[in-house]
Amino acid sequence: MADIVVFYIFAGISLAAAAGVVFHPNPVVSVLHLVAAMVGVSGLFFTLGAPFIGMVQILVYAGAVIILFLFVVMIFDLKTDGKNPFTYGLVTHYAKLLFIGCLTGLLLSKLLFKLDGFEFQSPDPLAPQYEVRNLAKVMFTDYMFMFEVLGLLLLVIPIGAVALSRVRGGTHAE
Amino acid sequence: MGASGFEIVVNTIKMLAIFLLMVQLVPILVWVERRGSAYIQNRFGPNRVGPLGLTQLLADAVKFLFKEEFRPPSSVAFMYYAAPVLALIPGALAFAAIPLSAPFTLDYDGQTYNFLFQSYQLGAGIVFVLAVSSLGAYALLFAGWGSGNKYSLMGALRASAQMISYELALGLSLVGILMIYGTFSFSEMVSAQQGPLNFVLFGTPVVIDFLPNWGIFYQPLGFILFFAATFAETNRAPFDLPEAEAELVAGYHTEYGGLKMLMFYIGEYGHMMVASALLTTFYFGGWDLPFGSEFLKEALPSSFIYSLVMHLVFMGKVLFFLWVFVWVRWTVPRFRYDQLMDLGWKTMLPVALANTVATAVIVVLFNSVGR
Repeated sequence: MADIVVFYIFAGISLAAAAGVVFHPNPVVSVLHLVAAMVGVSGLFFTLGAPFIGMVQILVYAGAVIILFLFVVMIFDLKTDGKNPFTYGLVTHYAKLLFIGCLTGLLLSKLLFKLDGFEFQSPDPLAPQYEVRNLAKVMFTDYMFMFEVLGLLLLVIPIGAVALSRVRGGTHAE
Repeated sequence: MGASGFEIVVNTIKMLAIFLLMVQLVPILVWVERRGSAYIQNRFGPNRVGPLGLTQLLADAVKFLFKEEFRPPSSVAFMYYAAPVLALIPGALAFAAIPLSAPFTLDYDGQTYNFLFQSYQLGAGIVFVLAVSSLGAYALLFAGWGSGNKYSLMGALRASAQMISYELALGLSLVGILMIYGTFSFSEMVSAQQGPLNFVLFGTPVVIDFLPNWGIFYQPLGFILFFAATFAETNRAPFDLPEAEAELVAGYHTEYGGLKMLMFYIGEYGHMMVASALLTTFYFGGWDLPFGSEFLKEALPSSFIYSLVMHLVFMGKVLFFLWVFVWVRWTVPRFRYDQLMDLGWKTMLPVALANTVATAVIVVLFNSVGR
C-alpha cells in the first residue's frame, strides 16, 4: 500500500515537472523543471528496488548534466518571457499537432489494453541483479561491446565540440 | 523506521539528534573560524561577549533573527526564497547517511534491539552521499539567478563550473579506495579498517603493529586528491571564487541578509562537516580507535556507552579536519579562475585517473590488499 502511494507521488512529480519543461516559456525555469523530473524518476528507481541506479541518476543527470544545461542557458540569458512555448508555422503547425496526436494515441492505447488485470508489483529490493557487484559483472561481460561503443560515442562528442569551436570562430579559432 | 514502537521512538530521536548535532555545531564553528582567523592573523577576534567570546554566537543569532526581511525588486520570489532552504538540505541528508559510531544494542521489555549510529543506512551509501552533495550547486544557482543581480549570477555560474570540474576529480580519487575495500557501504569500510596495518605482499602476509589499518596508508595520493577536491566542492578558500569578495561583492549571497544568510552559512558548514566525516571514514578509520578499541569494549558497561565513546573519537577526527578547513582558509591565498580550472582539469583529473589505474593493477596483482 505504502509502495503505491510513494509510486504515485514520484510519478506525479515526474509528470508534472516534465510538463513544466515543455510548457514553461522561460528556459531557466524549464531546465529547473527538468531537475525535478530527474529527481522524480530517481525516486521511481528507488521504489522499484534499484537504489544504485536511482542514486546514479541523481549524481549524473541532476548533479552534472543539467547543471551544465543551466550554466549555458543562464549565460545566454534568452529573453523569452511572454513568448509562447510553441511556435505556429504554416506547415509545421499541423505536423506538430499530428505527432502529438499520434504519440498520445499510442500511449493511451497501450495503457487501455494493458490496464485490465494490471497489478502494481514492487520487486524485491534486495534482488541480487540490482546489487552493484552483479550490475558491474553484467556490464563488463555480457554488455561489454555496447559499453565500449558508448564510451567511443562520448569521446566523439568532445572532439566534435572542439572541432566546431575551432571552425566557427570564438576564442579557439585558428 | 522500525517494526515496534520502541524502535520507531529510538530512530526518531536518533534522526533529530543527528540533525541538531549538525546545526548546533555551526555557531561553534563560526566562533572557531573567527577566533582562529584572528589567531592566525595576529588579531583578537570576538573576545568581549562572555568567556573567550563564546556567547558571541547567541548575540549573533539574535541579530540574525531581528534583521529586516528584504527582497530586491528585480529578484524572482520563488527562487530567491527557495535557495537558502535548498542550501541546507544536501548537507543534512548526506550527514545523516554516514555512520557516526559503532552500532549499539538496547534492551527494552525483555527484547534486544540493534541500532545503527546513523539516521538511515543505504546499501550504496557512498554513492548516495556523493549524489546528494552534488545537488548543493542548485542552491547557489537558485540564489544567483533568483537575486536578479549580476554579481550573484557571476558567482553562481562560477560555482556550477567549479563544482562540475572538481566533482570528476573527487569521484575518481574515491575509486581507488572503493576498489581496495570492494564495497559501497560505509560500515563495511570502517570495519575493514580496524586492527593493525596488515596486507598480503606477493603471497606473504605482512603485519605492521605500530600503524593502524587505515585507508590513508593504502591510498595516500587518493587522500591528497580527495582532500583538495573537497575544498572546491565546499566552496571554501582557496577555491572560494563563487563568493570572491574582491571581485563579486559577496558572490551568490550578495542579496541575502539575516536568517537567509545564516542558512547559507549552515549549508556551507554542513558541507564541511560532510567532507570531514567522509575524509575520516575513508582514510582515517571512521569511528575506529587505533589502539584500545577491544579494551574499551570489554571495560565499558554497555554497548550504548561504548558507542557514545566511539562517537567522541569520530567527532574528534571530524573536528580536526574542520579546523584544517579553517586553517587553510586563513593561510592560503585564493586561486585565480584560470588557475582553478587548470588545476582541476589538467592536474587533478589526470593524476586521479593514474591513481585509479595504478590501484587497479596493484589490487589485481596483490589480490585483495588489506583484507
